[in-house]
Amino acid sequence: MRRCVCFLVFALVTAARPLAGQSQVTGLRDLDFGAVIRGVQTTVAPTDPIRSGRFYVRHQLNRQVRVAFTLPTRLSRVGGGGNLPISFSTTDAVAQGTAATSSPVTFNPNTAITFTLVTSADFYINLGGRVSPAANQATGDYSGTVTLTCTFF
Amino acid sequence: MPRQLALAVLLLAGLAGRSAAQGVVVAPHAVYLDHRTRSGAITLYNPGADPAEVTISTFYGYPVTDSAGHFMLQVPDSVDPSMPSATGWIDAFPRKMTIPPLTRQTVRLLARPPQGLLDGEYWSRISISALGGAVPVTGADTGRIAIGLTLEVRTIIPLIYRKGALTTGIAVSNLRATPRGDSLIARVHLERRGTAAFVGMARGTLLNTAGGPVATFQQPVAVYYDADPAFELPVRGLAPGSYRLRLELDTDRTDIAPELLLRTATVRDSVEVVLP
Repeated sequence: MRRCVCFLVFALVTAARPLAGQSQVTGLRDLDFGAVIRGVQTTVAPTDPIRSGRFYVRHQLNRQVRVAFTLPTRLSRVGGGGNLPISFSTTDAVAQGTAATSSPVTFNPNTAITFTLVTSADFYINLGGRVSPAANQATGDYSGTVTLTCTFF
Repeated sequence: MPRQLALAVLLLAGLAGRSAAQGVVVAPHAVYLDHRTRSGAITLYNPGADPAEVTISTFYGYPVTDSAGHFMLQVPDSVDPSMPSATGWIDAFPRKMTIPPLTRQTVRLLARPPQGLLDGEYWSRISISALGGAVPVTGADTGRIAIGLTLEVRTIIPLIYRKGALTTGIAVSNLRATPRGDSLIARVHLERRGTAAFVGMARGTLLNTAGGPVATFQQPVAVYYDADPAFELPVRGLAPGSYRLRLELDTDRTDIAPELLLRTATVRDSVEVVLP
């Protein structure tokens, strides 16, 4: 029993140890539009603390990271039978470093942007957006994919 | 005793950073392979609470700078034999995997270069794509509109394959600087010399008329062919007047193993700057 516990502790310590020279790109929170009503545009601001999409990126101080989103323009109805327009404006993304001195940077998620990690080695990106269901939008489930690509040089 | 052990396990589980995150940690930042061993590895770690579906792929690309001086990847539409691409003969094992929560996975990289490969440096990019979960959508309520977005995150790191004795160097020209708000934006044209990419550091110092440093920057640079990067120095609070911007490029990189760095002499340049 004691051997089993020791192994478990060892395994958890191993899992907790950071990798040397690591980079990290993680999706933390999905962009959540909540209930959508026919004919009514629903917008989520990137500053929304609950419904905005949220990503975490970590690299190394003073290095550059190229951030590019691949965003859907339409969401497909599961099972077929229609699309639902989705759009992202020029101010729908906000990057914020984790240092106390880091300032938020609003950027256009439709265009790639390069950040230099000056104040902190890691930062968060919040993503907003809007969906515009038509007045005769077919009910059902709609799905799409948001891709964040981070290039480390 | 069982309670103490339970607490230890709980603490360690907390240390492991269990979360609902979707993505993986990737190490190292860059992969270097040589013609002697022809192999390497990257380590992936899933910090999340759910399994991560990961796909590895490679493509040819190299860093260039855009009009604003930011680094970006140049990815040619097609790769012809004149390009130093290693993409066609680098294999990753496995290429697709599911990594359980809080678990590491090693991905082996194996090079199978063509016969008669000339001495030189060959490049590729490794893309690590992790697919997370989606906002659940259900069809139980047929009278509503539900949206489920899937998150995918991609990490792209460089792969460099070397054969033979290689050299590198850097030529500096057209150093200039322009005040912009609370910053001074320095631009410079960099042109690689030798047979391998210049991977080093750019270090800038703004000097006052007495020769004292008043602002600095240091930033890693990788110049595969040429580049025109921008560097930003904070100049808030500095008195209007003349200054001198001194720029140095060297190959002292603490984030790359010394045996992998190609050394070259430090290159310097400077330019007069007037702050309004």
